[in-house]
Amino acid sequence: MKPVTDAAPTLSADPAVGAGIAALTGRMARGDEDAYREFHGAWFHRLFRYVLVLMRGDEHAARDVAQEALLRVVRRIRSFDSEEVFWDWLKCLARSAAADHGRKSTRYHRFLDWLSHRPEPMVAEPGPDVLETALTSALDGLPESDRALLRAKYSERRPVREIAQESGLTEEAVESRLSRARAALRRITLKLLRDESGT
Amino acid sequence: MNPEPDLNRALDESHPDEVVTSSLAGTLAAVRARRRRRQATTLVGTVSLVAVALWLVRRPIEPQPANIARVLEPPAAVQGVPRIVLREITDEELLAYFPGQPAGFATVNGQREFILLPTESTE
Repeated sequence: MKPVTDAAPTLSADPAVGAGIAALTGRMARGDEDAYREFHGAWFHRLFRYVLVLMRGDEHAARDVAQEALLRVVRRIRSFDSEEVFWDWLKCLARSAAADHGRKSTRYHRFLDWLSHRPEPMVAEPGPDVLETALTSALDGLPESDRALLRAKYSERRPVREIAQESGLTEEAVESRLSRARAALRRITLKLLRDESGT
Repeated sequence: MNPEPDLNRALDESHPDEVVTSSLAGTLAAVRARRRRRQATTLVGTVSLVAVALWLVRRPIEPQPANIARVLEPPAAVQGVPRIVLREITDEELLAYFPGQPAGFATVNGQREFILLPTESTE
């Protein structure tokens, strides 16, 4: 299985890729909006997954923290020669934003958090397999039909049209089922992350 | 073939589009705000430099009062030694020092010299 939280599909030892990240971050440092669009398209989901783990499955808090981390990227961006170093820097910004998010909570909010058993953010580097474990467990918790659908789409990488033809459904129906399966996967995963923080 | 689905991608696609679009919009707004701040800072810096340069060029150059006082102030006399003040005098002033005496100027070997002839009282 592919690593989930830490290892990135974009990471590469290829010097050309390093040159790519150097060019991209260089353009970002100069305030190039298109560079920020490229950066967001390539890195947002990975950063958000990382923040989801940091915030122990609290999706709303994760959105705030991810956005704060992105604002810190804008303020502190510099040129990076390596994707690995760049990712370490992003993670550092995310952890710092998560820590500040926790500190900014007022006593009232902390009281509400205590009432709702909402955990404090995880500021230390989370284990690389936390999200992977939660996702795998969540997949196991789905009905077999949903698991098969997700496998066809995300493991075998088959187009929706082909899945629809094979199952005798319309493409819209397959898309709809996929959407529900993904939502269930997310819901269970976030619950597992929250539950894990309580243990 | 990998038997496990790419759950990262499934999770990524499970988020509403609004999460991604609002995040991108917020990021780009921050980029624009930062660029405007940089431009404003550059403008203010440039205007300040030009203003200081203009002020330096156009200000009237006046001697400092403290320096004038220092120049005009005669050097302190050395204790016990009378102060000698030398100054240049004109030919008329020189002749005035010798009233009633045969004194004058003559050209000797191409140079103008002061001549004072001896009188009976000076001999």
